Amino acid sequence: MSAGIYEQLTKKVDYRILTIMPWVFGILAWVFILVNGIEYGIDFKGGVLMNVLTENNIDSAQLTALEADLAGAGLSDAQANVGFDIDTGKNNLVIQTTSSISDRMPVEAIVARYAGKLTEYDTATVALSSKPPVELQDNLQKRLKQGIDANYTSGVLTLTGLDLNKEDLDSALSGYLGQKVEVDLTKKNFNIRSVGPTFGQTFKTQAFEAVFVAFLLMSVVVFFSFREVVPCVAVIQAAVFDISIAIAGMSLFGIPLEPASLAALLMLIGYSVDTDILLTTRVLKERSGDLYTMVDDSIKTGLTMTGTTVTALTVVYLVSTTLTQVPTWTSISAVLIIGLLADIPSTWLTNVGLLKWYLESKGPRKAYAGGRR
Amino acid sequence: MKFNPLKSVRVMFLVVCIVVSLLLITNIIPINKGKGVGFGQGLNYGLDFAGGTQMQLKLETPVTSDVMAVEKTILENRLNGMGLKDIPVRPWGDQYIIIQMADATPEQTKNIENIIRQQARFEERIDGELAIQGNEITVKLGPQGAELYRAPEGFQWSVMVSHNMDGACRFGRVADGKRGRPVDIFIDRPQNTSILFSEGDFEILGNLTESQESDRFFYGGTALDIITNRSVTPAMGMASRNETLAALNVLRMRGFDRVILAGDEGRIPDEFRNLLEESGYKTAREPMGNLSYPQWVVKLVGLQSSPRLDFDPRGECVYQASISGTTGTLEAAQAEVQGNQVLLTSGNLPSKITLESTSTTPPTLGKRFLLYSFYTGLVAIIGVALVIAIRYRHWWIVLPVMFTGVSEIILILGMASIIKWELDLPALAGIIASVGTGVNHQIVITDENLKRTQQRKLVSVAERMRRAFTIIFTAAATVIAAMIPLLSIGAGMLKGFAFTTMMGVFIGVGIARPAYAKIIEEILKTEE
Repeated sequence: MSAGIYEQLTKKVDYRILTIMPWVFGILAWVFILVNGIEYGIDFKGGVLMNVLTENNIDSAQLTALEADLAGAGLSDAQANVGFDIDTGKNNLVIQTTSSISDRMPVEAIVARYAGKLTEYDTATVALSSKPPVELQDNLQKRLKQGIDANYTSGVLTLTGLDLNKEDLDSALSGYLGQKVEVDLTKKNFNIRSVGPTFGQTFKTQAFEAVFVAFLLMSVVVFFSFREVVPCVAVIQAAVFDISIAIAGMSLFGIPLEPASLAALLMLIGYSVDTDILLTTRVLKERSGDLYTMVDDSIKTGLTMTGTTVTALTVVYLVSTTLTQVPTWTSISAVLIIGLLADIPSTWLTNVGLLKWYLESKGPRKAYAGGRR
Repeated sequence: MKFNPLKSVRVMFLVVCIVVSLLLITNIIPINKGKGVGFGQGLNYGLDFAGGTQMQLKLETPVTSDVMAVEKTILENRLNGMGLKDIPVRPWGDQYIIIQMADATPEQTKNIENIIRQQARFEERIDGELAIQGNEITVKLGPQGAELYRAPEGFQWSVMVSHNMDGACRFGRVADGKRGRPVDIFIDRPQNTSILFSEGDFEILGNLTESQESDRFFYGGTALDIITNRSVTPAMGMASRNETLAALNVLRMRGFDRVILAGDEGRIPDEFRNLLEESGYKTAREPMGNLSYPQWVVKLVGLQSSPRLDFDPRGECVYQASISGTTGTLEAAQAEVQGNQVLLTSGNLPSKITLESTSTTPPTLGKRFLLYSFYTGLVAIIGVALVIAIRYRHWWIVLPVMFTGVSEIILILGMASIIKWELDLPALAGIIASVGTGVNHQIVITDENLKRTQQRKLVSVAERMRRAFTIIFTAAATVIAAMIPLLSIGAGMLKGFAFTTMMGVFIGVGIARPAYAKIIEEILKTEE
């Protein structure tokens, strides 16, 4: 299957070219990232994300009009999209802006013009002829074990909470009020999340600093394991390359840098070092066999490792884009797949090449143990 | 020779750990009190899965850790004061504080927002007369603003306070001739509020003059004096309905339109509370609960401390003052210093707090996310099994790999349950990262074993395993090194990810992978 694959490859192309080739792409990737830029999620750049579930069909002309209205209200970079919510069968209107909103009322009024009435909490109403006792709210909270507000104005009792259930409310209210009661329940259809711009900035700075120190500490551990500089550089370059290509992929496919995709980039560190340390340990620490045999053995093991992970992630990607529609998993799996595919050249071309060059430059020790070339 | 995996200590240990973890995840009541029994009930879920509200607060300027600790304690005290117990207030970096609530009602969220917008109302009163307000004092936080030294019986401590001109001169006037009287320090003393007791309680308070636990509060008066004279809050006992209502109506003319009902439903009936509400009063109920009478009284009026005035300013302005005392141990003295610094700063936060954002995740959405993630994970595991099956073409390799992978997930969840680690999206990513590398390492172990078989035992089993574990340990150490700096990123998302990954790596390297190595070694021996 993969027996002798690296040897065959080096017979066709000089191994030094193979070693450098991935990094030519790596540098091109960085040029691309710098030119194309990378999009930040609201956790990093600050801003507001609104989700509205609506029965209204909103076409692209209306979306453009909505964006224009929001821009008119002083929101910068307002972007509106419509998707389909699989659970409720309604349209899911998503609006993003980089401005932070101090007064929500006017913005909500604009959105409501397109999407209908917005309710931020589950709201249940019921007509009652007399004011219910004050302890009703406490009793409901205790019985239903959740936070509920009760307000009575002009003959209508309004209950609000994060997650209300009609059957539970009917039975609890009927019990406490001593009469059969049926509430009118409107489920929450509006969610708003905002992140202050400076908070995002702080998080971003801290995250970048932490990643930098992470690489530094990794280098120290790898250096102590192998006690040689070149293999250590070879391992670290692979992790840097994988993450670089993953970031370029994010830039290309418009995957924003947000906590989920940042987690994916960090997960790449673990997956990346697995293959490289496998290779380096086998090549440097094993005494038997020649370089090509050891590399080929490692390629076999390493590709199985990458293969299982990529397969699992492809499944996650397909399930989350089609069935479950959880965008968090879509972006995590996409970033990891790109990074893991990048790990194949960075490990089996660059890292192998660096090790081969290193062993050869150290003199005819074990690289030529098998007596080839 | 058939292989019996249960004869191996490493495999047995793994099995025992799995059983214990499963019990923990499904909930062992003595460990996870107050949670239901069912799969996953013994786990703590974060905002992503359980739903809830998160608020980001921003301090005006970056602060030192001393000041941050004070800001955090003041916020916690005030939230506790409004009955919101156990709300985590987490400093985040040097300029942010995060508050998370699992199940806040819209009104509670609004209340918290109000608390954050307003300063605590700090007052020093001497015999009911206002001496100092919160914005008139300055306290140096940390060790600089305090003194601690050894006294004959224990340790003497004191906290220094500076007053601005208005405060200093008012204090001098009010304290004139009051040497030996208490300086009552209030936080959020009830305003426009009268307190209604049951007749029995009212009488007891009128006669109570001292108690063991809080004698420093009484200063020769009764408990009722503390309420009516020293905190200037009208109080009355519940007489007949009409009389009580009439008395309250007189007070309302003077602006007292709020009533604290001090007593449970048995002492002051809900019917009367309904009557008051219908008559336009705002009511709140503050039953005595498990408190003693003095504790209850100080809670009702917001009295925090009553140090004795040790000098007579004779009407002169007092720009500098100190609060001091003696304690038995150094730790107690340090605690007193910190407690007093927090108290004195409450009305004038060292760095003003603003609410930067509020976001809410509905519980149903969180549950859906968790459930979908679970299903996705299952399908992904099947995908991994297929690749392993294609590569090795032996079910007896596929099964142990799957068993070990799934058991690593169970062990990590079990550990999360023991240490009450909150599961959220980053934690889940950490689990995937560590289990993913776990499968990688099992492939390394398997390949080393297969090589041995192919090489007709040229190299010993022990040597092959040593090589496999050299790779595994080096990779694990590298990942842990990469995760350590991420731990220090505040209480933010990277910490959860890094911690869970490290926990997973430790569990994998320490428990699961040695057991897998034993299983695969024995199986291959048997197959030969």
